[in-house]
Amino acid sequence: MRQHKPRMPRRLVCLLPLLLAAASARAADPPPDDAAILAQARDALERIVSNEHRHTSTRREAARALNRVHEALNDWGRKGQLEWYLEQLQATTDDYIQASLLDGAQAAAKAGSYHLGGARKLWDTIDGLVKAGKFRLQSHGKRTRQSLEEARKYITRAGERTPTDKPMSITPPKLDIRSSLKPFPEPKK
Amino acid sequence: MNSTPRFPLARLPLAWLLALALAATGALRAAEPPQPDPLAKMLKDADRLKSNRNEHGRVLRLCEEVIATPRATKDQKLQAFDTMAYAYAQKRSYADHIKLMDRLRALFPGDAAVDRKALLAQIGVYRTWKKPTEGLAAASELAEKHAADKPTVAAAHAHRAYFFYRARKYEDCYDAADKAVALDPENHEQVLAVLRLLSDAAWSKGHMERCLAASLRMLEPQLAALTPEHELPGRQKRPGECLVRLERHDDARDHFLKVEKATPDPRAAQEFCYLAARAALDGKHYDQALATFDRVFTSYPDRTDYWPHAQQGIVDAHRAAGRFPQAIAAARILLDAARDRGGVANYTRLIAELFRAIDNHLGRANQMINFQRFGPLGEDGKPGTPDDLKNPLAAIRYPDCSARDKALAKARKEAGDDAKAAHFRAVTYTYTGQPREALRHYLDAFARAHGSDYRTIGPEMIAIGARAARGHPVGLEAFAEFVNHGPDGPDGKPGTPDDLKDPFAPLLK
Repeated sequence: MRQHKPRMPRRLVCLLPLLLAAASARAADPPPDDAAILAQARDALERIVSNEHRHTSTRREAARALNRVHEALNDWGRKGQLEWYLEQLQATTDDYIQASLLDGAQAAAKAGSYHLGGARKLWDTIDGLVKAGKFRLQSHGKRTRQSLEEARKYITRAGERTPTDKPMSITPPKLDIRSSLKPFPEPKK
Repeated sequence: MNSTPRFPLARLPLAWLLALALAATGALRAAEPPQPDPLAKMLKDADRLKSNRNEHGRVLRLCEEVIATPRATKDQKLQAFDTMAYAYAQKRSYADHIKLMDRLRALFPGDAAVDRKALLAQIGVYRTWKKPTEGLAAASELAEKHAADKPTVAAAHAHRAYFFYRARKYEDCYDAADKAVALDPENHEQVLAVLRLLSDAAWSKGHMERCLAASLRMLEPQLAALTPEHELPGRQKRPGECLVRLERHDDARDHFLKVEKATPDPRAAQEFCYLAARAALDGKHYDQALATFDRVFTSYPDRTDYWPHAQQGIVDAHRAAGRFPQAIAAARILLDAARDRGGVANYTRLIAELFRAIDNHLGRANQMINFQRFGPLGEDGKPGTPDDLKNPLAAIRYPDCSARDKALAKARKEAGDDAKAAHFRAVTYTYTGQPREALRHYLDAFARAHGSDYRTIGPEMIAIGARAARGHPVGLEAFAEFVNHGPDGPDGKPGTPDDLKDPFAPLLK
């Protein structure tokens, strides 16, 4: 007998934009009920992205929405997340899906930290995959990398900001009247 | 026995049969579709092709043929002229367009309506062609020839006002504009266009009274209703700007407060609130200015656009009132929020000047500047040496921002759950004098970030978040290096000599 994979209810897929908008209107960490719904959405979106039989445009939207759900859940770096992204990256050929997956993979590698060390290591891994012929970086994917490199440049520049103002000093006004004012001439004797 | 005749028609007389046959052929003829008028077909073809630049020549030929045909009606000829005019306009053949309209006028010499239409078309061409002298001549001719027709004369003056404006003859422009408005006040669209011209001309010439009158009239309900939505905030602002330049600061403040209430655009409303505060400050109503500047935060807690301006205004108001310690406290927030080298230098100097104003000597002023230049370790960068520096701001508390903080708390809650929302929360903490809390939220924003957010949030996390929490910008390179490489350092390998310590950690304790 054919096994049916658990699928996200159709209604939930339709309501996804509303769910995300509602999530945006709340404070940083979603309350437990919302977190549960978002987690459900995340699982369903992962299934859509990985399902090659789905329409490409649906998968593209799902890949973008998935990143947004991770952002809302603040669960970047969850166990198995980076591996999932790397697996999908090797399986997809679509430029846009690849770009969204790379974006998500970078954040997963960064793992909710405030530095880009993980993201750098991810690109080392990707370079290795490209060399081994297991992966081909497409144009939007290249832009994702370029964007990260630009961000690093901006961050470096932010660290270089030191004011160059010199200390204040008061210069006494020029009151040397030796050349302009002469003594009255002495009366001739 | 009577038998029924097999062919009943055979019983009718021949004459009747003939009449029937004729009627039948006539009916048949009437049922046939009417033959199309070849001129109408030509006009239809020309109209169909007029937008196609490649068919320009063919369109002109078709129309010329219609115009040259003696049996063409006046309407058909006018239509042909219209189509040709359209084709010339499409090709930007301005000279041909003008000549065409001259031909039209010559073809119907006594027809006032045609003459008016052709002259207005020529004026339109001169406007696009940027030929004010020729345009003025055409507009004057229109006014002269149709002197009895008030709306036409008004239109002619409206065009004259435009051409005078282009020719930078502002006094003539005002004169023509006044005439256009007086002659046809009910033509609201025309009145609005003329007033807009008048207002812009008077503004650029510095004639503020005139500009004020025109700008205020443009805000009358029937005219404001015709103003495009995107243009309305600018139009609402203009009378206030005139009043400021006329140094009628109290009137300017009242105007800005009035339009703040009236505008449906929250961004514009925040700007008007800020401008009202500025006008109050210019009018030397310091306390009122301070309250209104503070409202830029509390009435618009979800919009950061005018917060830096308002904070600067608060410093200016305290300074103008001679309350230098309060000005320094408010300027601390400005210094914290500065995002670039120029900003840090400017606000450092501002605070130094305030110290000088209080002390009447340069001691703390230069201490302030040097601390921002070299940090606590002084110029030699070594601890425990005589040139070590103290932050003169350490002894000065941030201003009381409790009311502001209360108003922003709700906006923080409702900002959302993405990186941008976390960034917004960080900004709110910066503007309430809580730099460490701001840093926490900058770090949260960067942690949540993905995609292009790294580029916007990353630099601010260091330049504002880390700098404000430390109190000086010296040594931020270590922060940038850590953010770019992580704890494993540039080689990406843990346990090697280039490993980096987290410089943010001590700031979060």
